[in-house]
Amino acid sequence: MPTTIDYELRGDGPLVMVDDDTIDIMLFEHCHKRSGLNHAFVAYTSGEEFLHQLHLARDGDESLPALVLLDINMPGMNGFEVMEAMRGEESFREVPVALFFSNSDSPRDRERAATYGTHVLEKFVSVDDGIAYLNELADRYEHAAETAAS
Amino acid sequence: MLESRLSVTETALDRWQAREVSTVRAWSRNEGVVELTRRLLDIDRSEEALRATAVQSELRSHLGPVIDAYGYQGYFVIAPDGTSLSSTRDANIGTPNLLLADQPAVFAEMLDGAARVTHPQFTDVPVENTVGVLDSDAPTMFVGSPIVDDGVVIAVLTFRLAPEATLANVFTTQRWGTTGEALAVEIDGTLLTPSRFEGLLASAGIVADGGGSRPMILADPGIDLATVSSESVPPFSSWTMTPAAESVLAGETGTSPVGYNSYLGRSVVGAWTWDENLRLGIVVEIDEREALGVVSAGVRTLDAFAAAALAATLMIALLAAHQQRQRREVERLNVSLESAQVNLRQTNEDLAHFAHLAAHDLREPCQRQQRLASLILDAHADELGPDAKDRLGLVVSQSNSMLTMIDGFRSLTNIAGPAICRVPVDLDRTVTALVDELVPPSERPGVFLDLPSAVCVYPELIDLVYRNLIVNATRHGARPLDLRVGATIVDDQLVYTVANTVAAAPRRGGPVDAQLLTEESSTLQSGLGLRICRRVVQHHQGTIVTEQSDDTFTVRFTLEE
Repeated sequence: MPTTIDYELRGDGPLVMVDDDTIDIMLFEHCHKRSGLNHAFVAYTSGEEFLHQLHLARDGDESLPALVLLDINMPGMNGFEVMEAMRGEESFREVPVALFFSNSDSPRDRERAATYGTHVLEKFVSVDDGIAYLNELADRYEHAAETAAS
Repeated sequence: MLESRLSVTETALDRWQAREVSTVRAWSRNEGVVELTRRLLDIDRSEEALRATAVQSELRSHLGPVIDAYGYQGYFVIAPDGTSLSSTRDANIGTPNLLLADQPAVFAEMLDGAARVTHPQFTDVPVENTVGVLDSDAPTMFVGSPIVDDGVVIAVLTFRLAPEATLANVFTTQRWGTTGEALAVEIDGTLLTPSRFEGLLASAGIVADGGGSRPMILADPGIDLATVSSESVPPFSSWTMTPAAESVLAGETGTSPVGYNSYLGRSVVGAWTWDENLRLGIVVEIDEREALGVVSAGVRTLDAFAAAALAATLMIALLAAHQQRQRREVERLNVSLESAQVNLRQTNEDLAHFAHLAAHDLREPCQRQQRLASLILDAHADELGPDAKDRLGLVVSQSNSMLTMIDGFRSLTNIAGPAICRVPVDLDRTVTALVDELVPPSERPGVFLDLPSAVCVYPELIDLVYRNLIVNATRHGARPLDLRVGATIVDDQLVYTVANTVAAAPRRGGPVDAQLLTEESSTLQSGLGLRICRRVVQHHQGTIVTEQSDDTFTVRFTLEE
């Protein structure tokens, strides 16, 4: 599935995935290994867990995530609530977030996502699609780094 | 009623006058009359000279036809000094005209330029009465107009009228009912126009000198003349003026709804008015009994009208009430309808929400299945043999089919899903991908495609229907597989085709599938995908038909595009 992205990884922190679906995480992890992306991959299965780790990273002066892939439908805090929590703290506002949608998700959720002005991403069905996406992220990151260096 | 009769009579009288005036005015301006009058004025004013002149015969010849045509009783040409310069009769010529003697003011008006009818007066010479007898007491009237020469009134032309003829017509035409009549009365109470009851008067011996039967005055004989013989009629001297006559001759206008005795000795009701211009009274009378009958009839008519009006009002009120009830009922139904619509909308929204949840809940496991299969295929590619890979591939394709079916359901409900749009599609590439997904590699050589590369279609629907048909054909078609998938334009419409060879005695792949694709079936049998195909096609204003030849089963479908 072709993916058109218009955002970049920010910094050299990890690529974070927050999704309660372990199969999605397994797939993405496999795609990450097969891709050319050098950023580390970290996954959390709940929004609460992710935010906790995020605070720890900030307080421990560790690198914040280069990109957060956030599933919408999660038990407990859903993706919107996690994003709002991040936006509520100044130190996290600049962290790029992409909301993960499957094509069965409600149009209302998509509309709501549009109001946040955040990036959206269709969940991958195949390994090839996942690898293509991650390679594109890597290419864009390298290009941005080269541009900044020159 | 009486006042209206009176008014109509007055109007008729005015019109009569206007007609007479118009006639005399026209002839007074006649060139011949003016010329002859001019010549008469040059003649010595003595009777002998005026009678002897040839102008008389010329003038009589000139006006004779007019007199005959209009029923006049003669003419006069009167000099400004009142001398009759010319007349129908020699006896009047050269003498002071009657008009000057009896109606000097009227004559003066004519000399002043007015054309008019004179008052009734006694004749100066015997004239024919209504029964054709020369009567010296018959009333007479004139209509006169000035003869003008070069802007100067040189004489007056008059025509003698016969009131009992011309004026009588005006009044006799105003009779109504059985006893109603209009009468013209002279200044002394003499009837100027005939009575409606001439016969009765004649029977009562009321005859005027000369043979015409009319009372001298509009007076009450004191007895009903219809009930007595002529011998029993009281002497005329004992008769008293009727109230109408008394009033009208006093120059008054009035009515008497209360009965009074008429000149026939009967009780009548009447109305009257005095015409000062003509100096005559106009009286309308009708028997009191008949008047009451008319009034009663009128009252009955009014009652009937009132009753009809009341009935109409009631009808209108009932109708209005009925309409009001109907309006309320319509409003009530509208409210119910609105409420039902609200409920329906709510239900639809609930359904939509449920469908979304159901679709999500159904899709998620399928998609997870797909991802897992994809992951296993990729992560363990080196460990898996070709069969394992094929089977995992089937897991993926079956998941796709399941997802397609779920999407088919969702598109049928037309809810909770993203709007489908027509987009340019490479149909050949799309179907090739489907075939690669659904047909085992070993059987792909039996698949033949004939599809356009660039068409504008609904890709989701095409995928749904083609997918189900290809799956079905692959599953149930005869072996070796002979599957032909195509799309052609027929009559400006894209017709999609899936055809496969069928087994000799098919359990499926033929007539049963035809039924599933084209008909409703109440039996619970498998073939959900085909049912969905049919519903989806029909839902999108398309058609789906099947064709069975000896060994080939063909499905053709269209979509609204």
